[in-house]
Amino acid sequence: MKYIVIDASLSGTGIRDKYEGGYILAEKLSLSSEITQRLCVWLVKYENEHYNGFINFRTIDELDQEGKDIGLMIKKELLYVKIEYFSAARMTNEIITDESKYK
Amino acid sequence: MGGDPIQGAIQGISIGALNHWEIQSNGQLGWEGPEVTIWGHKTILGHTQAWWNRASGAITQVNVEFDVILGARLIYNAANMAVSESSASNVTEESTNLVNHNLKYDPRVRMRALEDPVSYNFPYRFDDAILETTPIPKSNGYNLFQLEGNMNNKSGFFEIGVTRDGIIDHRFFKPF
Repeated sequence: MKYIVIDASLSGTGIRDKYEGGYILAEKLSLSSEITQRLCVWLVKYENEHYNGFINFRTIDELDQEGKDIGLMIKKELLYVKIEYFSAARMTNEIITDESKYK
Repeated sequence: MGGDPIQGAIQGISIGALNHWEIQSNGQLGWEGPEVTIWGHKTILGHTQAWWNRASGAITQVNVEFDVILGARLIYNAANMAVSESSASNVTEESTNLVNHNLKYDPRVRMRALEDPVSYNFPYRFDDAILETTPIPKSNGYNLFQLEGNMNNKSGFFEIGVTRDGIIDHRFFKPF
């Protein structure tokens, strides 16, 4: 089972390999274009917040929510994958499951 | 310590020993363990070129680096052995002068390194060279510095991000 982390790190791909370390290109996971495009847009928005020092808490909340939603979309597209969300602003982790929204 | 002598030596090392070097019988600064002797020069950068002297007489050049945040990392590269690494934690203040620059590190740098060492935990002694590159200006006075290099047999960029207040809040190895 693959264990991936949705993570908006500066210069990352948005998807981190929890077991192996490093980042994975969305294309390598055969994700739909809808998800890859949404991931790209989300990363650019998160990048701008990084440059701004993560001072806008409301924006960070929205971006983290969006990142979790992307994780949930990936969870629904891929079989046998464990997904975690890592907030690049708050440096916190959450496991994403499709049973309850987030844990 | 049996088996691979180098591995045994690595297992025998401790950060406490690294921090308490003494003049050895050969007159050089070093640390003597049960089967190995390390000696060399403990520089202000916390980087030591050392040689292991085992009972077998084998001498292998190794590099001992003190990591500002994560502790000590021992890297050896012998002619006929694979490169390997070992690390220890709880480095003390006396061995934290790895870099010459005056910038401070945001705590998130350490957290990132712990979260994903593959992407974020390259040696801090690289930072001076990375920071000498021409910065890529971003919004809000943020600057990115990138230096081409290799890590774990992968080519890429070592990247450092500096806020407008002069805080390093991003260290990243980005493979090509």
